[in-house]
Amino acid sequence: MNRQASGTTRRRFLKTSVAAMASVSIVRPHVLGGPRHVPPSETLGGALIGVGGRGPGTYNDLSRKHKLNVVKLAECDVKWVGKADNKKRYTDFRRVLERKDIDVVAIATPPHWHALISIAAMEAGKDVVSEKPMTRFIAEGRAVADAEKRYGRVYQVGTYGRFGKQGDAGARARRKLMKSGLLKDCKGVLIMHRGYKVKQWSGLVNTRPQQVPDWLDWDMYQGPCAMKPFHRHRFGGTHRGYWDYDGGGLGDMGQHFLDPVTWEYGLDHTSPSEITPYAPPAHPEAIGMWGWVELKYANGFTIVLESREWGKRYDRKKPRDVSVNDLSPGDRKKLAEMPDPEPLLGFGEAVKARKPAGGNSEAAHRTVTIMHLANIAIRMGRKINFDPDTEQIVGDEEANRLVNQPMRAPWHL
Amino acid sequence: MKKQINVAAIVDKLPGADRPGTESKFTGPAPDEAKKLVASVLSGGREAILELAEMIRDANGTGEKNYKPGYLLHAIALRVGDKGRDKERLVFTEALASLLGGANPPPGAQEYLLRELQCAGGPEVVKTIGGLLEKPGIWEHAVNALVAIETGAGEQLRKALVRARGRRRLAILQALGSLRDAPSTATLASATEDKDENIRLAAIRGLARIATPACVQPVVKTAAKAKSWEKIQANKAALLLAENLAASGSTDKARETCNLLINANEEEDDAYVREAAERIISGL
Repeated sequence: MNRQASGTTRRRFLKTSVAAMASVSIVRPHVLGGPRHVPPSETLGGALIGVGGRGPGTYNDLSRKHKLNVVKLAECDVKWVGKADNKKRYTDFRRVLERKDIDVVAIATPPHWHALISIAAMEAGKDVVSEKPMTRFIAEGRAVADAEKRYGRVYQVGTYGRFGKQGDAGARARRKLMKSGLLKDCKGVLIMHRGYKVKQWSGLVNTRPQQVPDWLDWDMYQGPCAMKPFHRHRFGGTHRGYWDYDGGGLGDMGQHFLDPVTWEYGLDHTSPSEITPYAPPAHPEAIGMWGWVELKYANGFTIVLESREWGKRYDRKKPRDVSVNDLSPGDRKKLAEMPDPEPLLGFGEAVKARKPAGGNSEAAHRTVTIMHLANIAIRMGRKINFDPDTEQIVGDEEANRLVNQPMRAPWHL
Repeated sequence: MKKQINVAAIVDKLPGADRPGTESKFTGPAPDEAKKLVASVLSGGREAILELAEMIRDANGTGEKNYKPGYLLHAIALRVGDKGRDKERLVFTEALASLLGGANPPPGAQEYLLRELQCAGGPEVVKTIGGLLEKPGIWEHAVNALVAIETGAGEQLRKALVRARGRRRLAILQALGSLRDAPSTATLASATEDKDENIRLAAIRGLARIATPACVQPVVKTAAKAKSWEKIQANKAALLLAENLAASGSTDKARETCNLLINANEEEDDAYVREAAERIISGL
């Protein structure tokens, strides 16, 4: 169904709804499109940018998972050279975002484009679901979070582990404890040795340049990254093995694994301050091996990411849970009187309520920052210190240059 | 006096790619072993660094023999960037800079060296890098290195801008904006009238970052007349400018910017832009 034919745009619908809610609350929720009630008038124009790999799944989740009534009006991909009609199929995402009939954008490009397209979409007034990992470096995440706030848009990263965690009583109790501020000297240690696909998603170190296929816009694919010669391994999934595009298996899978952790341990608004790596010297282009990274927060809580694919095992600390037993009896009483964690809003609910989604950009940024810090420490081969407020690496200029990396014109944050 | 060392023999000690003779992944040396190899080269001083850098033949580590010197050079760049090693860092960066600008090493190798200076270089190499801003094939990497180094970069970029055209001019203008180069305010303001949309966008973005009262008119004027993608980006520049003006205490100018932006976005679909501007005003 063509949304324009309905005569009601999402923005007009929301404007009317907000005005109705503000005047008097006699209108029943389903009329306004509350949870599980999508009125037929609320048809959203949708677009998918990056159609390969996860693209169709990410877009289809708009209706399946998020229960939005969405009509796909445009798709965009850099591998459609000669096949785009600039009506429904595009190779340049800017032409998609110019369209005023598009309300929601699903982004499933390689990660080096996630932040720039997310930001541009919100600047154009769209709501965004973006595949993980949210960003390629730390400053990108701050810019996405700033854009969400500046434009009052809704952003959700494409990983949902935290939504599952909120159904777990133990996880809710840990979140409440960690967010309470009562745990001054946290002794918790969480060691995670999940499937980081370290070797699988590493890069080739001695490639010979190849001919760019005639169906691919390589300049657009490379985008904000310094121009490099085409090689098939830099494209189509194996891109994950190059610092230009992603952070290897750690950068790519880490957001899945750590999304529930940052919610459970109340780390949505802060970042680790001391990061200690164990890895061989990094290659400047191809992502390689690492053993483990220890990331300690200012309150003492420590996350250890362990690859178990290279080098000796982590043995600096033992796993240790956090619990109310870490509090004095008086503080336990105070904790009991505090409110329980608020439920997370799904993307669809957030779009309708014009409130932040559970996987909003600030939370997603803090999660992906863990992987970025781990990777910076791996790349430097030394301990780094990070200020979670200024989001700068302290006392290490070389490492800090990876926090905000130059972009190739015309692309910029 | 630095001792004589055999750099080629040190390079040979690095483990090969995992599948020799093919395009391959790389497991790398043990950290302690790598430290020893790096220290061996550094003990040879400038001459050893030059010898290692001259082994690099292109920017991509093409072939089995070529990736090892590049990998070791990068390991050295990381080592000398560590705390308390500034003397070694200066020897390293000045040695690399001395190889730039001529016919040899080949452009691909110079690109590689520039990328290492983007990691470890400081003000001591900005003049040399500035001299590469007109050099075909590597000027874009020179721009990136200058943006990363920051200190002293503005002057080099301003000098190069005079003769820059096309994509090079765009990259330099964008870099000046990234650096918040206040002496470029008039140049950027003038560039908002350019016939190239990308130049105009780089200019207003730079002005939004510099964010002095003189930046207001060129930015809001662009926002008022722009269409489509340029309109979206000009609105962003105006909002960013207002935020930056407010943060620096120029609240009247921030309010003026927001009001001009509100007036320039009167359509129903632009409500979110007006609301964004109103949020800034309400915070003043």
